[in-house]
Amino acid sequence: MNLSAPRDDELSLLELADRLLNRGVVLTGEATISVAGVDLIYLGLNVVLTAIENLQPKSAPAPRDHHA
Amino acid sequence: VRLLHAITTPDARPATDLHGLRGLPLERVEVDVPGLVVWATNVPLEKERLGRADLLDHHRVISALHAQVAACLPARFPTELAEDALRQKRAELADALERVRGRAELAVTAVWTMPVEDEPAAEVEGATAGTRYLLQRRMVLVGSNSRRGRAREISDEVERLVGGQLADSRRQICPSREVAVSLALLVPRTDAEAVKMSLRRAAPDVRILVNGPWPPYTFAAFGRGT
Repeated sequence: MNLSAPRDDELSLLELADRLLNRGVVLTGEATISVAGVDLIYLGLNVVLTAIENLQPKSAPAPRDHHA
Repeated sequence: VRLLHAITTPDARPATDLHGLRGLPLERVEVDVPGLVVWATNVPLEKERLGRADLLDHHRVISALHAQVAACLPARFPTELAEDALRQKRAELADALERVRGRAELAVTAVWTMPVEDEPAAEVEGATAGTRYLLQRRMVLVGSNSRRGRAREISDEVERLVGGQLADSRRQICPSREVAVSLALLVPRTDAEAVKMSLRRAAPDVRILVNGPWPPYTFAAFGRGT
């Protein structure tokens, strides 16, 4: 993961991914998607996209925590 | 699994057909909650998992919907439709819908043009290697404090430039070494492109990226800094 020189298109996608994954209406408690308690947005695009590859909604209406 | 994309008021009637996730039908669900209608895709997920394409498709669905209705609350991805929760949060959702009605979100990212490690370190004649190391560390910390102050100035300047068009804002100061500030601005949809153009300006120490207009993701959540 290279964070030293993020390109503009990477930053744009990060900003969007942060909004899609961390903001918006939450119905079933505080659904948080985090890596060791750190917001995903600035961990890098690969981590974000790798993390969401592993997402699977749970059928029970309970808070969800996803850790990569 | 019925994946929720957005919540609107019952008068929302898109003029054109919209597709849901993975090309599946976008469902307009008349929930038993006064004043609210939800938009969802029924996705069979027994074997498949959600992936990056679904994340971006979720954005596509919400954007298409947002473009055709006045008030649209995006849902966090992934959110499963739960009518009980909708019922419990009806008042908050109705308030949030009014807050975002006719408005869109702009994302402003100010990126440092000089890495912190390139900032000049203090030089002390006769300093040992250990002292130089500690001085360097101190400079990094002082630089960090100075950068936080500068990031706040940049945020204030951006908000000042938007002026009366700014309905609401959220800011993250120095969220990473590279980024000075990440701002979310809620502005009238009709003025969003003009505001975006007005923010494209150079600064000596940062470059400013403006993305959007997007559906009001940041301002759909309630109870956080409102």
